[in-house]
Amino acid sequence: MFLTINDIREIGAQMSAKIGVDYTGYSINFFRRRVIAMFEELGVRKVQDLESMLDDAVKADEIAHLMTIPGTEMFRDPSFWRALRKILSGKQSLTVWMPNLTNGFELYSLMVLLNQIGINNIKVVGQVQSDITLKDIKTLSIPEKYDEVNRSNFERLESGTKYEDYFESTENGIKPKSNLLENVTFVKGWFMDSAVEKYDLIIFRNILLEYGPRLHEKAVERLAASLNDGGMLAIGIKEQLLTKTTNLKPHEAGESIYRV
Amino acid sequence: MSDYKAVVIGGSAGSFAVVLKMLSKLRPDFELPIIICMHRLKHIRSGLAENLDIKSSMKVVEPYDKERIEKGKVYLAPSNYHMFVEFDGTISLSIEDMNNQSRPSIDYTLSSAAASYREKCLGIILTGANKDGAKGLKDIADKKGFTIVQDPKTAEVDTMPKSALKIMQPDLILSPDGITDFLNNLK
Repeated sequence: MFLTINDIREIGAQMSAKIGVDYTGYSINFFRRRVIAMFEELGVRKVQDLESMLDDAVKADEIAHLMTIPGTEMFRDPSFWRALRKILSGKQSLTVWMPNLTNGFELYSLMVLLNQIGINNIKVVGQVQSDITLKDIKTLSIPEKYDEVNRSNFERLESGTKYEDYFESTENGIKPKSNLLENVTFVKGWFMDSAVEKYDLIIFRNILLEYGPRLHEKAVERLAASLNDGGMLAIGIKEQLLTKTTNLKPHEAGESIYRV
Repeated sequence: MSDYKAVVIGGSAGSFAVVLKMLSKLRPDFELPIIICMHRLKHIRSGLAENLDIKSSMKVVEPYDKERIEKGKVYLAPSNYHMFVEFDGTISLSIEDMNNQSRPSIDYTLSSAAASYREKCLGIILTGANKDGAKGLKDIADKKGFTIVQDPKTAEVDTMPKSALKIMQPDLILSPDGITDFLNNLK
C-alpha cells in the first residue's frame, strides 16, 4: 500500500485523537512503516476505513497494540544490565517507571536483575498503551526455539544465578515465574499525559527511536521532570539526548544511562 | 563525485574483508559519505567499526539515531539495529522485526537511501549468504541511481550478488579491486 505524506498526517491526527497517543510526533518514515504493517494485519484497504475502526474501542485498542514495537529479546545489551546492576547494588529501596512497555521483555529483564541484587523495597510502575499489550505481558510465553537468545544474554549477565531460577518450561513454551511481577503496578495510557510522579529510575530504551525531533525533545523533558534528585534515565545505547534543556548528565555514557 | 550524494554498500558473509580492503585503498580525499550495512553478530557491539577505522583514511562510526550524515565519513549499521537514510540527511535506527532474518537489514538501508537520494545514490552489493539487499539495490536502480554488484566469481559466498542479478541488471559487475578503482576514479 502506498501512503502519501498527506495520508500519513491524516492518519496520525485521527489516531492521536482517538487513542490518545501523540502519533503526530512520531518520525514520519517510522510511522508510515508501522501504519502499513498495521493495515496489513487488520486487512485495511482504504485510509477511510480506519475512522470507523477507531470508533470501536476494542479495535482502537488493537491498533494501539499493533503500533508498538515488541522488544527484540530479554536482557538485550547485557553490558547495559551489568552496568545497571553495579549502579543499583547496595540500594535498600527503589522506585522505577517504565513508561512505554511493549511485550514485557524489558520489564522481566529488570525484575530478574532486581531479584539478583536483592533490594528489599521495590516499586515498579509499568505503563502500557493497550489492554492487549498488558495481557501479553502477564501471559508471556516464549517458544523454546526463540528462547535461545534470551538464555545466551542471561549467561552474559554473569550473575551467578540460573535461568531456571526465573523462567520455567511449560507445554506452551518458556514462561517467567509469576513472582517476578509481585512488585509491579500496571497503568494504561500515554505517558506524556500522566500525572508527574518522581522515580529513582526510568527505563525508556529504544523508544525515542520512534519519535521525530519535536516529540523526542518533549519526551526527554517529561521524563527528566519525573526523576528524583540523583535519579537515572536509561535510554537505548544508540539513542542520544537532543535537548540541552534538561539537567541530565551522562552517568554511564557507553550504556546511555543519565543522571540528574 | 558531484553526481552522487552517497555510496551505500551491503554485504554479508565474507564482506568484512572486502570492505576493509576497499576502505584502506580509497584515496585520502574521497569525500562522499559511505553508508555500510553488513550482517553481523548481534551480541558483539564493538570492534568492527574500530577495525575498519584503523585501516581507513575516512572516519568510521556506528551512528547514533538522528545523527547527521556528513561528507568524508563512513557509517556502519550498529549490531541489532536497522539503519535507514532519512530525507533530512540524517540516519535513523530501529529495532523493528528482522527482515530476511536480519537486523540490520540491507534491504532497509538501501531502499531508504534510494528514496532519499534517488538518482544521486550509488549502491553496491557485495558477497553474502542470503538474498537480503537484492530488493534494495533494485530500488536504487528503479530510482535511476547507479548500481554495482560484486562479480559472483570473486565472492566468498555468491548468494547475495546472484540474488541481486536475478531481479535486476546493475550498471556494473566488478571484482572488489574493480569497485575500489571505480570509486577512486569518481570525479
